[in-house]
Amino acid sequence: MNRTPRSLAVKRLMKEYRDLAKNPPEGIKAGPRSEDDLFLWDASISGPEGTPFEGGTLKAELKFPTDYPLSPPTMRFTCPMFHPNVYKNGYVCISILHAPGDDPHQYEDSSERWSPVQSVEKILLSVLSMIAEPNTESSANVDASVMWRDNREEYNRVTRKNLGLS
Amino acid sequence: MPSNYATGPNEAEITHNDGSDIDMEGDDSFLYSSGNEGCEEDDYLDYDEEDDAQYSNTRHSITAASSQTAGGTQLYSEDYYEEDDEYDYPVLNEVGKPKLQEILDSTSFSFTELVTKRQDSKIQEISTLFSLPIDIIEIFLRKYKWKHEKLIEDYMDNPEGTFKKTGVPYLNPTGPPPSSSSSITTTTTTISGEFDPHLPTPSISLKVLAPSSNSSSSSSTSVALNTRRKSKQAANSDEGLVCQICMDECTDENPAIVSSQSCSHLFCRDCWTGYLMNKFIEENESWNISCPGFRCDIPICTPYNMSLISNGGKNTDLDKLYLRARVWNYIKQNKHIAFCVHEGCGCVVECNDYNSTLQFPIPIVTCRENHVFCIRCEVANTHLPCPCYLAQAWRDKCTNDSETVNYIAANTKECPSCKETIEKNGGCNHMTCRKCKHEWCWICKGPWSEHGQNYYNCTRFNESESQAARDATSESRRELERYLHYNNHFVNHELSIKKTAKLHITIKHQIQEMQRADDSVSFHDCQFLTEAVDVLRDCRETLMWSFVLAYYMDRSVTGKSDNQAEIFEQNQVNLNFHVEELANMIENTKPQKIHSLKMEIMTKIGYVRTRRETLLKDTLESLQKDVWSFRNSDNIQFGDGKNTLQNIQKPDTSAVARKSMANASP
Repeated sequence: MNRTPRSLAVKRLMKEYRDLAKNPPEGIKAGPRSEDDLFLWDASISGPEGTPFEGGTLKAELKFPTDYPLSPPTMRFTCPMFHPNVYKNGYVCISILHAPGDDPHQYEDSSERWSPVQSVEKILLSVLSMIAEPNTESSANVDASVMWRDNREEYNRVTRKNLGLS
Repeated sequence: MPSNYATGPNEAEITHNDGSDIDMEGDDSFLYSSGNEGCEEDDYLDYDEEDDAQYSNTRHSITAASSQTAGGTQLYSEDYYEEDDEYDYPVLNEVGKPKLQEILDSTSFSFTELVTKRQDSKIQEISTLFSLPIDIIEIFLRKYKWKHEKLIEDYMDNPEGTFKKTGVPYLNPTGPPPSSSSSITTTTTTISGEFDPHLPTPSISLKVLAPSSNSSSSSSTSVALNTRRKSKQAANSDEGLVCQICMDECTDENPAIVSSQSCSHLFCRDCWTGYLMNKFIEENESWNISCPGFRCDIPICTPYNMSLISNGGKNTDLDKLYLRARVWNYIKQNKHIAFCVHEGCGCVVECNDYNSTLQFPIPIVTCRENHVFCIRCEVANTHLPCPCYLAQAWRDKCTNDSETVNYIAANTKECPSCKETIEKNGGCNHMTCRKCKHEWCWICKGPWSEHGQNYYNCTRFNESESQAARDATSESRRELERYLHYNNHFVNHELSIKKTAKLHITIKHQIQEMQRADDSVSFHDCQFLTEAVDVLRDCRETLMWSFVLAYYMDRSVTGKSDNQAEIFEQNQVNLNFHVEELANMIENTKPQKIHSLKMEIMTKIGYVRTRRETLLKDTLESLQKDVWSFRNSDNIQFGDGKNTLQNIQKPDTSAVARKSMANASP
């Protein structure tokens, strides 16, 4: 009965790690950076086909709060990212990572927000689809948003250059 | 204001202001009659005695011994509304004689208990009316901000719409609730045709599932639910039910609790608890808690569900938080109940009868800690004698633009032609308005065409055309100056009030010095100084807000038929003058001399106090008679007029509004 939030988080993260290792979804790899600290994960997403990210590998880190999964983790790309929904410092702005009631852009429907039944896998899948289809209605990087909308070629070029993909 | 919870709701107590026996809500009498059971008898008696003492104290004469704030406010309340000399409470309010400041009918049971009882009785009542389970009614009322009339009205019009609006899956109230099986302690079955509001509602109630899924005692629904779960999660749940949050198997100690029938999300009790605690504490979201399932909006915070999750009250932490959130929600939604606005004071104040802005322009209440505040504005000053809506307009105005206005007054002039506000950013006096291209002189405001080549000096100040141009622009400028004039007075008094604490310390030192110099001076002898500081403070507050009233008063309409406005202004001037004199007396006199001035100071205190009461009394009378008209909108505009200040809506002064006010319950 007297389970601390931290022990719940550890258990849950172990479980998710095991599941991800056993059945990894396509294009996604994720796991704790070291066995000592389950609250910091590294993830890599391979760029989806048909997007300028194709062929590249996007590296990111996930930080989990001690009351995970009641509160959502934060996700930050450690590789350069020029994307409408990624802040310039690499933090990902996506509704699934926001707790209900904390909406920086006042745009999201609360039903799309974080809920404890979400998981790392679901987050990464959402990010994957976000990479392919940016949400320009609530942009974290306005420059990228404008360029994506008005000058797709240039956007593709910048993206590929960022990833060292020619 | 979570700080109010610093003391915890259970320690704090509710205070009833005003004759709350005027039964506006209809259920108050129930509360008063039944509420005493819960309180400690001793406590109750203690409080009454103390209260009595305070009253007799204040009624006859304020002695130096009475506590400072209490002295001020109680005195005011007693002497101001002198008509009611009797301490024979509860007293019904007569029209025009608000007794809002007095602590009437103080009840000393815990307000948590009181509010809970009130909520429960309301829920019960409507549950019977609608033939719906109490859990659903609780959600309804919450979504309707506890406005039961509105709920009843809406529900009678369109029951399904009400369900939809509140997010509750539709339940037909005419038939008996479908038999729901496993409640937490016993398995109940409904006898068809008989309505029991306490039964769990299948559409929103949680249900405990036994971990061994095939137990024969389970009803058919829960078996169906189990098997579906099993097949869905066949990969990792061969043995039993898996919680979707911790992804662990549920056990006997930590059973699976399935969310409503309509969504079937399943979590273990620990995760439910964690989820709710997190919501209550971290997100401070006490009421609109829905099922943790993704994109699931089914409301789950109902008494039945809570008792299920806390295992029939065994998890006391969760229960406490839940109760707190429930009470908090009610208080926040109900404008007749308010937490004391003073920081760290956990008191709750109830004031039932202040709806009419005409009858009660300033519903001042006093909490048990003797903090005084306006229950309508919920701010920590009393803004007497200025009515709430004017005080609010003033506050907005000051926070919005007092600095801007100052700057504009100091640095700009208006174009004589189009009234555009223009700042001279350098160069010569030859101004050309960017908007209307009018060319004019910064010094005399006359047209530039008359100035010839004289670029650096204006020698034409008194020419008739310049004069005319100045007159034309001065109208809106006058508005600004008018505002600044009143604002300056306001701010000055405000500053002085802020220094009251410092003055108290000074006075304390003075008293000590006096005693050192002369052994015959007792501590008691010097209390008049402390009293003076308090009286000063009260008077300054009154003056402060009287300037706001003066600012909004429309003299072109007001006072033509009546000389109330003149009386008000005379009162104000008089009080202001004597307050400054008193301040001067106690602040600028040497300690050695001060004692010799005692008689003089005490006379002054008495005089100033009477002046203040007169001012308040006259003002309030005028407000109640509605003899003054206030400027409905602020005509001050900046620049292109986009910044027109908000219009002030004077609430319900028309006869129609008053009538509807009288008919409508809160």
